[in-house]
Amino acid sequence: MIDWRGPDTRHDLQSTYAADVFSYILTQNSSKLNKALVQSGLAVGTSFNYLTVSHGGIITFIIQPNPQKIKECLAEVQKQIGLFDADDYLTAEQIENAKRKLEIKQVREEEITSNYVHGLSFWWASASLNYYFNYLDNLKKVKKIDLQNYVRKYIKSKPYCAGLLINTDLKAQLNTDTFFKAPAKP
Amino acid sequence: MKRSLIVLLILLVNLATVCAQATNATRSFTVSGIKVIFKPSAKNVINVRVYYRGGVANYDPDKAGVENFALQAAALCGTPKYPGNALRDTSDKYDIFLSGISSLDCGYIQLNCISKYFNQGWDMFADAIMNPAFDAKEVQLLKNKLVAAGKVEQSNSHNHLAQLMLQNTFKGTPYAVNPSGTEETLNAITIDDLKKHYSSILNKNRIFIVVAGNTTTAELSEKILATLSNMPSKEYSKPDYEPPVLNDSKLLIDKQATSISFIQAMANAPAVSSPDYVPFRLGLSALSNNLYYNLDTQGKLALYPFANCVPRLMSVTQILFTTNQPQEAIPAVMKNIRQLQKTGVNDDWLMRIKNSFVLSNFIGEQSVAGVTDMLGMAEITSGWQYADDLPQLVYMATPEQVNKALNTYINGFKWGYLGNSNAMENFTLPQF
Repeated sequence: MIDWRGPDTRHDLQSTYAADVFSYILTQNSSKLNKALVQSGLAVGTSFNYLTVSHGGIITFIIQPNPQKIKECLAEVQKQIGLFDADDYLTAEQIENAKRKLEIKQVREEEITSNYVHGLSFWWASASLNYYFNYLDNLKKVKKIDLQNYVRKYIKSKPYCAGLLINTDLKAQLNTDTFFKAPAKP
Repeated sequence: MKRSLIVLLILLVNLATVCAQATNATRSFTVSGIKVIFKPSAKNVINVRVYYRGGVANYDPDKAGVENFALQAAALCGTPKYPGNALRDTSDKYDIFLSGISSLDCGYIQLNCISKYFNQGWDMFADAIMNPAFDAKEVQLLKNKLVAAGKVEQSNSHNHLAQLMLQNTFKGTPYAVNPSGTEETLNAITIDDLKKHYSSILNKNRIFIVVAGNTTTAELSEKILATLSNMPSKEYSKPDYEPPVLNDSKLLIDKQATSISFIQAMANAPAVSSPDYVPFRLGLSALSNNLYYNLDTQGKLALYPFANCVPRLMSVTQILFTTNQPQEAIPAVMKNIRQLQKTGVNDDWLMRIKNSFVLSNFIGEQSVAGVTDMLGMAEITSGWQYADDLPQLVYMATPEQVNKALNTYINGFKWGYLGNSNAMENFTLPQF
């Protein structure tokens, strides 16, 4: 798991929309990330998520590596992070799909009344009710350059916290301390 | 004149309510020989499940997991029209969820999407049901995931004990087979096995469809006719089980190095179609209340003890809890059961249980997936009407019926213990 400090609604409201769209692109089957990690067999699955909050939003990238290819998988993860803001990393169709999925997510959130009230109170506490009610309109305004700026501002070459949960035998067998470690300070 | 207007207004409001209820009432109809159960809803999400009857009765123990594997492969591994990646890309595009699973009594393939993209969802769903490709590469990837998921499931002590209890309590019946399969059986399953099995269960007389959402009978009929009418129609008889009688007390110990002990007990229960079933479920809610109060909050003997009745073709009562004092907790649970059988519930207590029961039921029905799940399982175990009638049946139950049911069906327990063997040293299980 890799966590970055992301935008929050007090200091950088605009980036919260880009954060959601970006996360919803990376979790698509057609994303470059999915092809490089899951479809290649390096990982069993991945998830990329951003939680909108008022104080210090967190960007969470979870990877379930193929136990036989942990070292290669983690190397590919770092390579992909370096490519997140490349011009050809995100397609127009993926951006539109992400916006559509977020729109559908809002429809789904309204399905269960007892959950919906919790959702509304969450948005009231994390941002404002207007943030929630105007969310889709603001989402539509997000462009590729906003996504690239979000990556540069919060993810690429930014401090992060990473953890690896692994059983003791596999850790000893793979000698993970040699490749799962903090990068040298510049 | 004014009074007449008020009366007329009230009549109109009542009429509108009755009409709305009638419009939203669950209905069942047949399209091209396929049974459909449909609950209209104003929600913007649609859920559809095609159920395949039989579950573990549909295959031999050495093929354990084949149906679950086949239904997941049908739903997730693509078709000639939607090969794996095309299926996933289209799912991403419209946020459509397809899934498949099989358990003890049945399996299903499920579609969940929003009403706006129902056409796109149905197209993929119907194609998955009628033309699964079972592509070799996709199937292998799924097999790896199923084997990994099985290991995760078994590493959970509750799940491991539950499976062990099923195998022992229902020894000699199809329920002793793990519907998820084992690493050994899953690895031995070939693409040919999947194709053969799927072909054997794809049968108009074996399946039925449950739909909940903002659509119409006409739209559903049109879609089913256009896409599923070519499904084969073969003879099919539902499994007819004789549940094992549990009238003594036995203890099964699985020694594992855990810091706390996991305990599960199984007893008989009435069939879902029995008039005793609802009173019995209410009685088990009362038992749950007592166990929680006496063993958790007061006695500090067990953590979250609860009792429930699992609605299956062979229904079973189960009691679950974790404890660090198993030798004291097991007799205490038995004492609580005997006490409840002796004193029973009174009107006041039963009414509180009923209200809580009906509220939980309504909460479960908030999502269209919850509705199709309840209707589908009711159709498998008795008839879909049971799910619709449940609130009325609950309110009709009397204390006498509840107390009689508790005494009729609970006559012995099969106990299961998972934990450190030292904690059970010299323990003698009291007879119930």
